[in-house]
Amino acid sequence: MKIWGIIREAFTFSDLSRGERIGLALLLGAIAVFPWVVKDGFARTVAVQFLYYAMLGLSWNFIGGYGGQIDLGGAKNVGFGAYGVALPMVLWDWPFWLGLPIGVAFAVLESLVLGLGLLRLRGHYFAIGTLAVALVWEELFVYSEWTRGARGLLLPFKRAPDYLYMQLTPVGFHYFIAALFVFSLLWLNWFRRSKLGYQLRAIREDEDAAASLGINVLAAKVKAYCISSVVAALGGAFYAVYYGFIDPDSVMHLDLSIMIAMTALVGGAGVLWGPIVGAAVLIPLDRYLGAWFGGGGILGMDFLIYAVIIMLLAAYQPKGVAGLIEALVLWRLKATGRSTAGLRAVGGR
Amino acid sequence: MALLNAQGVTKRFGGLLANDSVDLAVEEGQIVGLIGPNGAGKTTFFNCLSGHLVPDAGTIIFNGRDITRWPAHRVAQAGIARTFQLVKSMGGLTVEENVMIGAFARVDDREEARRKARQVLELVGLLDVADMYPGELPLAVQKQMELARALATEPKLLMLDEVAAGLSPEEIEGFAGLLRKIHREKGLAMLVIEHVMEFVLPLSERVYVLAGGRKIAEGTPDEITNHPAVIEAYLGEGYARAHKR
Ligand SMILES: Nc1ncnc2c1ncn2[C@@H]1O[C@H](COP(=O)(O)OP(=O)(O)O)[C@@H](O)[C@H]1O
Ligand SMILES: [Mg+2]
Repeated sequence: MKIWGIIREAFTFSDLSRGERIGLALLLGAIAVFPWVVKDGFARTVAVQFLYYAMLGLSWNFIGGYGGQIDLGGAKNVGFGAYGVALPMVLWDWPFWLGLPIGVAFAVLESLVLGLGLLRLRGHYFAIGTLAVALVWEELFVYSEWTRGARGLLLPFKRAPDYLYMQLTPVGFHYFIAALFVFSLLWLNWFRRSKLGYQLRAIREDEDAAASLGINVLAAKVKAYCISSVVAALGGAFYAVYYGFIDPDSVMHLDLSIMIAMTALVGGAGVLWGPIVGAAVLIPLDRYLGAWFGGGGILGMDFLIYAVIIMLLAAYQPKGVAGLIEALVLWRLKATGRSTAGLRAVGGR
Repeated sequence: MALLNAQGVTKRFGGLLANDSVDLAVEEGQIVGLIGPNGAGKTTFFNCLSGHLVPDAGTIIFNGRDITRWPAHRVAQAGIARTFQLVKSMGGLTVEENVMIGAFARVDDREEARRKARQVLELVGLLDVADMYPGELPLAVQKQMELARALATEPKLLMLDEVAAGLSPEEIEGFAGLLRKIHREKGLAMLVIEHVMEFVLPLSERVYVLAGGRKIAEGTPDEITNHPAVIEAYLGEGYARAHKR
């Protein structure tokens, strides 16, 4: 059965190094016990946000990391997922599980249409295109009366826990986002070793070579872009019920798009666990600094600075922290006189 | 009927006529050489055949189908594989993975692609560097890898763009031997763009000569070496003399 093959692949991490596998196991263990060990409300919030941004970073990795197509508009898909849940819930009292597929389907369709246009572009034109389109969507949601514009949507209050409307206890929300995070991780793990994943990596390296080997470059990129949009929309759906309130500022803003790309690029684009490391570095930094200084944290910085950082990282050190670790390992091997031939992969090949 | 039949292929870059109504045919299992001085339009012609460029005029029939306006990936799937004048080794992928990308043109399963890739790597003698990255290997090996990658797509026609350029005489010798071996074992047709005459003439059954975007001669290697227009346009007295000796 094909489906069992896919599931088996998703759970197979055997090509990772032992250190990487231990790291992942420790992380998953920590996520599992976290709410039982840590009772501090603020720390729990930070943990949820870490998982949320790690998940969004994983979604970016499909197209931006493995495919090398710098997406600077990821927030729109988060927004579609969030509004897909929130809008029917507010308007017609629809439960979470009915709104969820609507938001996800909209994100996929929009990404399909947009991707067929934008993914023909090469290099930074795609980045600029996604940025522009995400800005247009944000403005549309701000000015549309139907989505309640800038006032946003306050979800009807249910008594927690309510599994139809997914209004959960703090511990419930922790496991909810943890489940979504693990799902995203498994999907990405399947993807990177699938035919599609190999094709995207070939495209990242050289589109002409990829095409000469029979790869339909546009189709492969669009597929990865659509998968990416599904994962981001799932994150958005979570966000809507977690906060109980959304507006274009919180789920469609440029800052969020930038943060998603940063998460992957700081940790390591095109590395399975890169976005997790990225989120682990950026989110506590952002939230604790923000709490201490009372400002907007690092997100308060001008987006232009971020855009420059992203382009520089993408061009010179796309593997981010993962790349530094890799360099360190290679350096140590060389220092001890061992061969480094072929040893240039973190996060599996 | 010929495996590949290109007729009247024309390509302009602005005011420059890079290919001026070029005709060329390759029979099944035949090795055909395509020679000409720098800027003659050889690579442009390749790009038109492989779908990386769309010709302004002309028709390209391959295996009974008109592929003139097909995109590169469809041409590849139809059975034309190519290498590039400037090697396009995908540096972030190991040698084995590079060749697997080629194999994925025919199979969906990763391990099947890996098996196929390793078979081809064995054929070209690169199995022992399968896990290395192209950047760690000399140019000659990268070119062999590109050849292996193209072979892994199971082509009916293999097109090589200046495969000997930048290689030492010994490496060129090795490459010629390798191509002969592949031709013997797989029986596939080859279209070989070349600069190095000593490499391409002994290999080819038939040779076409391009100059200034136009086909100025075609024939057997012997006919070409003695063709006055070719000698004038390209070969130079030195080579003709050397071959008469
Ligand atoms: N993409 C392009 N744009 C403009 N001119 C080009 C392009 N590609 C090739 N040319 C020109 O077309 C002519 C033929 O080039 P090319 O096909 O590369 O020759 P060859 O491979 O025989 O050396 C040259 O004058 C070259 O400068
Ligand atoms: Mg050329």
